[in-house]
Amino acid sequence: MPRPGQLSHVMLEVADLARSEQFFKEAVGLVHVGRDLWNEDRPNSTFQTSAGQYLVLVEVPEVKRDGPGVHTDFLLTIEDYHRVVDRLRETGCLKGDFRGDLGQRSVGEISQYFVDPDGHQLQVTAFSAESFQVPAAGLGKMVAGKIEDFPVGSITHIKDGKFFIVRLEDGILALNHTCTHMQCNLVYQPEHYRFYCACHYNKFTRKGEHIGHTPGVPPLMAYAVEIQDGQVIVDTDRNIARSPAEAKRMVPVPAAT
Amino acid sequence: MEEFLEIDHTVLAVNDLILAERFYCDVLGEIFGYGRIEDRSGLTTDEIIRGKRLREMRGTTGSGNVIAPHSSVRVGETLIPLFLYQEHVQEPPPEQMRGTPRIALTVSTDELERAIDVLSRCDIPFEGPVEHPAPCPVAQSIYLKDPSSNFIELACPRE
Repeated sequence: MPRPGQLSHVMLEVADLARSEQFFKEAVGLVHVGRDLWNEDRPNSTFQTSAGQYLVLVEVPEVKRDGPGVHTDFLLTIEDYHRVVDRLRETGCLKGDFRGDLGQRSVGEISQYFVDPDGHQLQVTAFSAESFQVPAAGLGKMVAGKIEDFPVGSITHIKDGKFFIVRLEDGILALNHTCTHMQCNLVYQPEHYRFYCACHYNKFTRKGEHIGHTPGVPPLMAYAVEIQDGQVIVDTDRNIARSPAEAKRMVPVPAAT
Repeated sequence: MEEFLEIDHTVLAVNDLILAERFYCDVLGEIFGYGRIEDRSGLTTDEIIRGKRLREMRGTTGSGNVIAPHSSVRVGETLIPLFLYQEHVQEPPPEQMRGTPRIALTVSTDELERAIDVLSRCDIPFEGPVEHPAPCPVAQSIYLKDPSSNFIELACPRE
């Protein structure tokens, strides 16, 4: 049974209940609960998720066309996702993953869109364990450059190391270029003095503090950085999580360099 | 047989993003104790530029439509992306509160009572509470519409 605040059910209109019932049972693989369970004046058929939510098909004389972007997304485990997608592919109803094609899926997130017999768009999605980890480059200690290569106010992307060197008045940071929301790659927007993630529109200050809508996103992770003999050395094996308070601090640059 | 874990989200189309955000976050948010905008797209300079780049790269999305401006709101625990209609669409008659397609959010009996209070106070028309006989999985419901006339149900599950 869904908890208060969770989605209870989604009702879709269908032209032919038997046809749609067969599609969702056999092609999709949803658990069928029964017919005409709902207090509706039209024939209806109900399917259920493990969380106790329902997909309810209601037979109508004329199915209304869905608006732009309208769809329902089901979560599965990785293994089950592949089995479902293979089956949907055989039925010819798969529509691909345009967001994935545009590089807007996070690491470990896989998804496919498909359509039912009435043209309703649906989606299946799965996340692997790496979806929830910000990866370190794992290339050991690397020399990012000489300290004078990074003047105050500069933001330099070191792609191989998966970090940005941020040099401000306060000091220097090597920020992991991975968004801490769902592990997409960030870009730096000099017009706005911020890092930006196109996947879910999260934004971070130059010190990696989260700004924007999505709640609970931690600051960007940072690699350990030290300055030796005038060189900026970044340890790409040490990916450090930072609290919001820690994210305000930078590594000081010695005056002698 | 595969296990469908849960419905992660279901998208609604709206004709006014700002009104829709206010309705879901402020009105339904008050009923559920939580209503917040999580994403916005197409309403910022970033997205206008990104939209241009997408059109250059692909022309349209896989569905044949250019990605419409959208917000994603979280009400209670439910994520509801709201996409902006690009054309006028026939709405149901104003007096019709119950119809399809529709989405339903789970409420406790306390929240159902709170909903009646909040909707009345906000002058939002609704129908119910309506009692449902078994075997309906829902014991009672309130039916209403969002500012774009999407049918919404607040559903109290049968124990």
